[in-house]
Amino acid sequence: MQKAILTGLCALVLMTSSAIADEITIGGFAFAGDFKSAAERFPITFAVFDRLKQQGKPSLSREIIERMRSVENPSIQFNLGEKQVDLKSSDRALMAVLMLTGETISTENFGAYHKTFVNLRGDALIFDYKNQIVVRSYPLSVVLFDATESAPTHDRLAGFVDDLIKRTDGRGLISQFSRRMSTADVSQKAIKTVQVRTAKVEDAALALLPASLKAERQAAESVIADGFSSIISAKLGLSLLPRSVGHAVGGVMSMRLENGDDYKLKVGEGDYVFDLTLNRFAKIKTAENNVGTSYVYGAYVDIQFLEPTLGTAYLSTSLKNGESAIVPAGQIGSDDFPGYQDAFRGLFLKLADVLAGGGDGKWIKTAASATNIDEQVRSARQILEECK
Amino acid sequence: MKKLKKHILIALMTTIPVIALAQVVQVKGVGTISYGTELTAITKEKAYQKAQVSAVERYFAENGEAESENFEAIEDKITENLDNFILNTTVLNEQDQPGLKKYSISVKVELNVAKLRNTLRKSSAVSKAGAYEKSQMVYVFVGREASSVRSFDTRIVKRREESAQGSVNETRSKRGSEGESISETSISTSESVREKKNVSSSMSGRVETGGSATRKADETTYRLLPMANAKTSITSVFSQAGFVVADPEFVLGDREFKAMNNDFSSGNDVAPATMRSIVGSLKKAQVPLLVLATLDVGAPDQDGATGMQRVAVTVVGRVLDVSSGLPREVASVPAVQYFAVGQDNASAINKGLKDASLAAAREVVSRLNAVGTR
Repeated sequence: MQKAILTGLCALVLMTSSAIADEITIGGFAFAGDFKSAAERFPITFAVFDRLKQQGKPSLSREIIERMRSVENPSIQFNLGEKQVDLKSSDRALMAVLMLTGETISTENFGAYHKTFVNLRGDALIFDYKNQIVVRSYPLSVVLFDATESAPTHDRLAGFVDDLIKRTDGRGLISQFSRRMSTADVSQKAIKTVQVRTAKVEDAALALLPASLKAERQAAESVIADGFSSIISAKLGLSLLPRSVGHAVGGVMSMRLENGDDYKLKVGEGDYVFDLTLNRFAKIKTAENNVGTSYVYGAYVDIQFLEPTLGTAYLSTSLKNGESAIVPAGQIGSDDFPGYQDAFRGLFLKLADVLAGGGDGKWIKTAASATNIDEQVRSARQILEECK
Repeated sequence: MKKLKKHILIALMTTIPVIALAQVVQVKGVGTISYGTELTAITKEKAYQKAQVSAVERYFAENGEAESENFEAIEDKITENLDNFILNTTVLNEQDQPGLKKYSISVKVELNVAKLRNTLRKSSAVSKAGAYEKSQMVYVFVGREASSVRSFDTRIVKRREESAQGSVNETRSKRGSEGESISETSISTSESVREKKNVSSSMSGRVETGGSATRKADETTYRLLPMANAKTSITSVFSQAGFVVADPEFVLGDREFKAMNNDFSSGNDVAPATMRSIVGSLKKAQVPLLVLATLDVGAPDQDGATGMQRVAVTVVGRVLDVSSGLPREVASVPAVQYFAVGQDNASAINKGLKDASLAAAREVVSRLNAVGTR
């Protein structure tokens, strides 16, 4: 008899613990910031978004919800819109959205061909819409390069963006969103927060970026900041508060979902912040033969990781990274940006690996200007670990 | 059986979800403390508490001057019972500067705002006052929006004056002489004519141009807005703060309401005559406090972020103490603008009026508490 009661109680405990797993409603897709100007700020993505609506095809939000059906997370129950959210049952009501924060598309002519660079950036954002605050934010970034004989048409660019959002491998925006949702943990309510506070691009580096980025320093800074955020978030499993640059104006970030609901979320300064400065790029010829020429593309970045109230810097160093590329003999004209992009992305990836506790220990010693870099990495790693 | 009870108890404890409905806010605070010869655990603890208090202080400072002043009134109470107000403290950073003998700590705390507000309320002069000591209060909140705006084109007057003067003088003189001389052998004649002509002329012209442009201010007529939706919320703010609120309908006469509505709908503030009449009614009813607030609703516009309708509501408020011979202003809320967004104009306006009047009522309560009005 006693055994039966105990078994029953255990079952009840198990059932209840799964029932009190955090529930997150999947809100779908949203454009960050002022919706009225979304068509100007995200021209191609907005065209894709609008075309789906005009043609009566499943919207981006529907696509996200469908893809989320197969996603499982033991600590989270996903509500895919089947039931209404009970705002009274808890002190918070969580919603997750794929919020697009940046679109950069650049096409340049290199003699016989046109090179196109497409970069979409977003946040897998979990927020509490009862209290209008950000609970977790995982930055996402996807990139595509394409070369064509003639300049790409608007439709072709829309095709690239559509593919980058929907593709099912790890390089798709929705795939990255689903992956973050499968590992997200919102059980701990008061966590320490991390944010990329500033990202600067110095003139020397700006001069070597594609024309569209060169003309708009803020766009270039967003590419660098969002690229770094998404790598740090993915490699360390960290939530990063949305950046103040471009997204959150006056500590309030606005966005509008496809169903017309609008949210204004309070975003404060992170408890710990990263400040980045991309100083310059370098291109060094290392070898040449009949087959081609080998170059090393280098990026030089200053990085600081600090606690802003007392100003304690846990990581404060200049870093450099080189990535080699071979240009085939006889190639007329060459675009250096992919090389530079590999260099700074490589730097961020290697640094993230080191901060995550693995990676190339030798690289950081040669790449960093700080003599006590091992000590700095240890203290930064410890802080970042506490922020998970 | 005892063991079974224990299991049941544990199971029940696990199954009852923790209900946390407190109004919680996260704030950061820093505490720095100087120490003597060496840094002790006691010094660290003091700095930790200082950081917690500084976080609470920061919360009040972010909510305005009056709130900050109110914090000073309850600071001791908070410091003595920090654990009651702070739900959770996370240490963000510690810094020891042995050279300067200074130790700093930075913390992030979760504040139980509801409890803080209750403490503030309890410590206010009005809450401490006995039921018979509490002042009665009448509030008049009037909302208006521009119903028509008549704009005038600029009146332009141009003037041109021309004057010309001219004169011609001519003098002419002719003088002639003729002579003849006859001698024995000859006759000779002579003739001479002398002519003189003098002509002079002068001319002057003058052109003057000028004019004026007169711009006339817009003629705006106002429409009064119903405040019924906001009324219960405003009453609740005042009565929760401990004030005895009397409904204006039972204190002020119809004539005063009419006069006030006329004043406001014609675009003016309360006319002196109306004001005197209101004060007279309040004195007669022995109500010492009058709260006056005007809420001006701007023209609805489309919100940039959401595409929905947005209105701006500007609220101005003042509190008069009419208990003494001459009424005196005990608190005032300078013009503050609030924005509200809604699906259509009506819902945006309703929301704006409610939000603005609630905020004004809270600010009035804060200021009355700060000056110790009971």
